[in-house]
Amino acid sequence: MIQLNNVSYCYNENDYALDSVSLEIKKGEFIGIAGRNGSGKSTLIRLINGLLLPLQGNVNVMGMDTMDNDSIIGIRKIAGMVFQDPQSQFIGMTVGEDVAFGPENLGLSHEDICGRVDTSLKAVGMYIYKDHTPRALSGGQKQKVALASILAMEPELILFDEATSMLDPVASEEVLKLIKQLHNKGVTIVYVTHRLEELIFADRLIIMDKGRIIHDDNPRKLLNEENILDSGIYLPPIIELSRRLCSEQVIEPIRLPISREELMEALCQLM
Amino acid sequence: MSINVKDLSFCYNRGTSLQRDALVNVSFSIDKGEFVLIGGEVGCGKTTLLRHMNGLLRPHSGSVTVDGLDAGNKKIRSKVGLLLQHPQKQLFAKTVYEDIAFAPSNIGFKDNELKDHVRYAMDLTGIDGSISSVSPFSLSGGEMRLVALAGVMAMKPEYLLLDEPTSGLDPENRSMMLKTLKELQASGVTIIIVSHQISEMISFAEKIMMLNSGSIDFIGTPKEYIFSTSSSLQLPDITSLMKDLKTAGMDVSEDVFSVDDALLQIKKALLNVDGKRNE
Repeated sequence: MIQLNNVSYCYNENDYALDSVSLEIKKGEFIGIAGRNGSGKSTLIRLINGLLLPLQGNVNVMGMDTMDNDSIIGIRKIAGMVFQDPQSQFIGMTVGEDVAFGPENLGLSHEDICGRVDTSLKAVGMYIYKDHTPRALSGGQKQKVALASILAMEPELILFDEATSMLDPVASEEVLKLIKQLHNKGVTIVYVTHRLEELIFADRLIIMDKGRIIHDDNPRKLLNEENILDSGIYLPPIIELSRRLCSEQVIEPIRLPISREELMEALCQLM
Repeated sequence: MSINVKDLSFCYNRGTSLQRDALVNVSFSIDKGEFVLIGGEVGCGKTTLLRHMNGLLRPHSGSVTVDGLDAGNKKIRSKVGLLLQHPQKQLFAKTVYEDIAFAPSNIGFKDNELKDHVRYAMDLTGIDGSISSVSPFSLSGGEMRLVALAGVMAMKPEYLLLDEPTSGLDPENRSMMLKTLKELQASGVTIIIVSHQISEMISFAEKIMMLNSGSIDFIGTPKEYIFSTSSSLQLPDITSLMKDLKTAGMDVSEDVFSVDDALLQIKKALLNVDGKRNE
């Protein structure tokens, strides 16, 4: 579905934010991307929907090249993006109008638009704020509305750039659950975050450092690697504890527990 | 000396059909020198409450006083510093030095006195003198936040209010920020943090307060918080695991925050001293 061939990008001359990256993403995959601040995560996903254009190499989304001017609208229809700080993307006077903006531009009927607005606002739990101005919402509520705006477009691919950074743990969990549901329905997900614990359910976990992809594998396998810490990422405390319990042979190191529930289960078997 | 909040209520869009209560009859006090965490779900009134403590917002009923003075009194502005959400956006000057010096120079400090204020702020926040002449916009996100913090500290405030000081930072920069705040507290500054992700900061705090729909849901020490039945309980994953293990019958304690302690406790509970498994 998505193909990056030797893609490079720099914001300042000779300072590569992305350095010859090649990557293939299949339809329906859930791809998690992690890495320290400035490792190139956000740059990578902005290249996918053509917000940034490659300086070298090419980016292809369902047969369309992002460099091709005639393709860019087609790509944007397929690929929705939820940003870290949605503050600047609000345009409507009310939350409902804001969510309606995307579907209106798709040329849908009035009934369809209203239906999509209500469904997506209910999905993120913001329906009661439909007639409120987006400006009076808190940071986390804005992030939920931004997600609803993308859902209303019913895209085949959603790119998330730290979409839960402004949400409390309960709200993050709700949004993640929603994302998993979308994934189950066949939507392709590319999800960038600092919080590795959100990525343990991904089909593939990609770790970036200094503009390159340094790991790309199944999360459980990757989190068990000896050298995973060399990439400058921090492991979630539960996974660090699991790894140490395994390396000290307290629990059998055959299958690394990667969530609290799994670790709990492994430890209870020992009691 | 303290911050006293009594029967504070506040609503947005007052007098319109969209009127929404943000704070309802909130009362509490913060003693000088404390490290306080204010948590709660998105939209529970945390930021609204914080903005009352330096007089940015005025109560619709009730009162807020700082060291006996009404929070609306301009004298308290230099006593109470505020670091906003996304503080990078507060930066504007050509150099790090000018940015930090802005507030003290604004109220009339000059020459050596001004330099003293800036040096004090840079020392406290651990900013290396070598970057004082570079543009704040060439720094990393974590460093920019420290510069914004130094800009607030240059006023030598006695109370420091911080709105989501760690959000959007990677784990390395988050722990740098928290370490700096703990050092500020050691130098006598009262630290008041609002965050929706309080779990990783619990072990730093002396007092924890949870808000729920504009009312106080819990107030107490970290230890009391762990054992509380607060509906908005947010514990670090490690602490939750230890609580679950204890409930399942393992002989471990629940007030554990670090991986090292958890590992020790679990090994002690499962293994003999010589490393063999208990039968």
